[in-house]
Amino acid sequence: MNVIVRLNPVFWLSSRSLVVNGGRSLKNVFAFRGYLKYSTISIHENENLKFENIHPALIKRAKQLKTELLDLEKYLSEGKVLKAEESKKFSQLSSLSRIYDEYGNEINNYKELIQLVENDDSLKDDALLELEKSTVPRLKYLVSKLKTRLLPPHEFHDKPCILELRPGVGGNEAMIFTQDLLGMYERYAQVHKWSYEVLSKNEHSSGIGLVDAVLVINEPGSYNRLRLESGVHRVQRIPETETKGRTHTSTAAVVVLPKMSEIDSNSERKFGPDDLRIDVMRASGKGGQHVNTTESAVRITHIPTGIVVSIQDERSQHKNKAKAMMILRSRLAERERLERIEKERSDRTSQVSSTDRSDKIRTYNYAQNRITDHRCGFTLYDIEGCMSGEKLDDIMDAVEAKETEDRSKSLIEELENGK
Amino acid sequence: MPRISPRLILEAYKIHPYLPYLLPACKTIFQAKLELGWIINELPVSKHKSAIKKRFRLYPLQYILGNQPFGSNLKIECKKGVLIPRADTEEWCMELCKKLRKIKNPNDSLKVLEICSGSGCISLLIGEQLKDYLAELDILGVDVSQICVDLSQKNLELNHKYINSNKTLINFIKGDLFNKDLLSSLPIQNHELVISNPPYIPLEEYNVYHGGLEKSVIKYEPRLALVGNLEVYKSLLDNFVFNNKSCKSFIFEVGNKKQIEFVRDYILFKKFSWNVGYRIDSNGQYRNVVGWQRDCNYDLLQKMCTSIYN
Ligand SMILES: C[S@@+](CC[C@H](N)C(=O)[O-])C[C@H]1O[C@@H](n2cnc3c(N)ncnc32)[C@H](O)[C@@H]1O
Repeated sequence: MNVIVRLNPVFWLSSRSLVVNGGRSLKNVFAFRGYLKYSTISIHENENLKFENIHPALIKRAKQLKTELLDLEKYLSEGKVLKAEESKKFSQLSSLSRIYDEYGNEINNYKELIQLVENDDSLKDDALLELEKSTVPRLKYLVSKLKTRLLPPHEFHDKPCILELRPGVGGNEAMIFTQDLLGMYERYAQVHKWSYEVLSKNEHSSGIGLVDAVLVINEPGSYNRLRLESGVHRVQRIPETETKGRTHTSTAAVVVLPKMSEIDSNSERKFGPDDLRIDVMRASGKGGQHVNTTESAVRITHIPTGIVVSIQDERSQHKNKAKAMMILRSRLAERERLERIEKERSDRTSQVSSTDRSDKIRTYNYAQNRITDHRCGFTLYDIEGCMSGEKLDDIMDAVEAKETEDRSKSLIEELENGK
Repeated sequence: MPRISPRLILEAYKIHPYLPYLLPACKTIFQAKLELGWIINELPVSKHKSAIKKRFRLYPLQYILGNQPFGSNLKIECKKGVLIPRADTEEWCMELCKKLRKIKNPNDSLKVLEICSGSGCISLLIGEQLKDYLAELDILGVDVSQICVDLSQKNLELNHKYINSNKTLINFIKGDLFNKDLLSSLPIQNHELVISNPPYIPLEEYNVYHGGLEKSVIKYEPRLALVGNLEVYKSLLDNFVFNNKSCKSFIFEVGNKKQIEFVRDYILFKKFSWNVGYRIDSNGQYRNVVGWQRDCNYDLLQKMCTSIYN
């Protein structure tokens, strides 16, 4: 718990790459070069031994958070009870602190091994092997983990999610692509063994393609994983109906919402008496025993924002209403979150990071069998693997890493400007 | 049958060859598509064709699929001979449960008598909504038809997982509401609340051309569950409300304003110290008559009422 790593200033050379010399001055390392008989490359040139270390400002932040944890621990040891917010914080800080400690141990290991490589010929090869195979990869992992954990968690990070899909430009082909995307996310949920439900789905009257669809993934935390899927997805391919073999470009929009349940005390939202207009499908006439209609569609209008949610898939009006309310709550929560971000941004006049853009985020090019995410520049050459949900994680990981990097940068800026 | 334009039939056919057959019952392509979706999702392929054919003859979809959802979780089995649960009934039942949660405290007990329980949907929904909320919940459903009693018992078992609680007891038995001595023979006598959705379509309305009754209802749902009028409400009051000191409140579904006024006037005539109100449903129809003894906490039921008589 109380390992404190004192970092030599030389550790930190740039945010991109780090050359470690085990605490020696650079001159010393160069002096050693002559003794490294069996190695063709010197330590500081060996790419396998490099990793991007954590910025000192972030290390400082981690230490700060550790003291906060100690305060909470003290509080607990006095037999006091933590409030819900505090106990949430406690568990977040504990896991951060565990990673930080592990990171500290691994850095020490690293230093010792480097010493061996430099000073002990008999152990040098083993030490190099261990560095390359275990210590450095482990450090890379811990650094990225630590970076993510140091960022304030996303407001709705523990929520399940709702995906709304709608065709954009491209007519029928856009509707077919919307259907393909729905299938991709359904299979993605299957791959992860997450429970999901297609809450609502409107097929185009031709029976081919979707006019819109709503998918719920009930796994807590799935919002955090999928939220970066929000945006316009673009497809380039030759539609089956295209006789001249021309490639068409079409789009579909994906909106990812945090799923807000009614019972969720934090998100309890009270609607004023005039906030909602609820229209239900009705048999005209006397109702009651006079009719046995199957009409059950519900449309809810949130008057202050103009948001309209229509649901008709269930045979029960009651269930359609409950679903529509759930979607409405979720849309409002996301809308308010975006408004808050917008406000913070204009307060700080900070830039829009490339991962919060909601415009065209990704291209699916069938002819080239590739998917490119425009936010991080990552390309996956496996359309089938992506659409089957198996490889989607590769793209998501890349986007997430990019987002972490962007957020880390602005956190560092903030920390540095803060003092 | 309302005439369906050839254009609509053609349009439906282009979407799916089965769709035109659903138009007589559904009237719009929107609704026909939904019904087709439900048939395809809920029945094995081998039954699709016969389901479509039945529906073409206006046979109720709920009988074809064999059930109707009721409330958030319950699935009520439906079959010929038993009335299909209505959304209008579901609406007031859910409201009633909300009110009961305010009227009763968690360590109270509650005994409810439901007359004309049919499929059992009302009793089961109250059971589901209030289970574990009260220290003791006892519900008895009574129906004159043996098919109904059997089906409601089956529905109790089918929905066991949503209702099961060691604090809740639900039962269904056979009995006739016109029988003055029925109450004394029932296992529950000191009930506080009487609920009923009795047959309320006046005989003169039991006719497609006058009463605003759907053809599918008249053709396929049991007459016993539908035809009734003021005499039914009189017997409900005489046999289950006024002859029992412990009864504090009642709520009945109605089909028109006359039935509400009859209940009001009958209470006035008997000079009982009861309050009466009525409820108009979200579709703008007179749907319930509600009564409660003065000066007890059941007067919270007035919150369900559109208006109260003094
Ligand atoms: C309108 S249905 C209500 C069924 C169910 N409670 C519901 O809401 O869906 C009326 C029920 O009353 C029953 N019934 C008709 N005459 C009765 C009588 N004299 N005594 C008891 N029940 C009767 C019928 O069998 C039918 O099940």
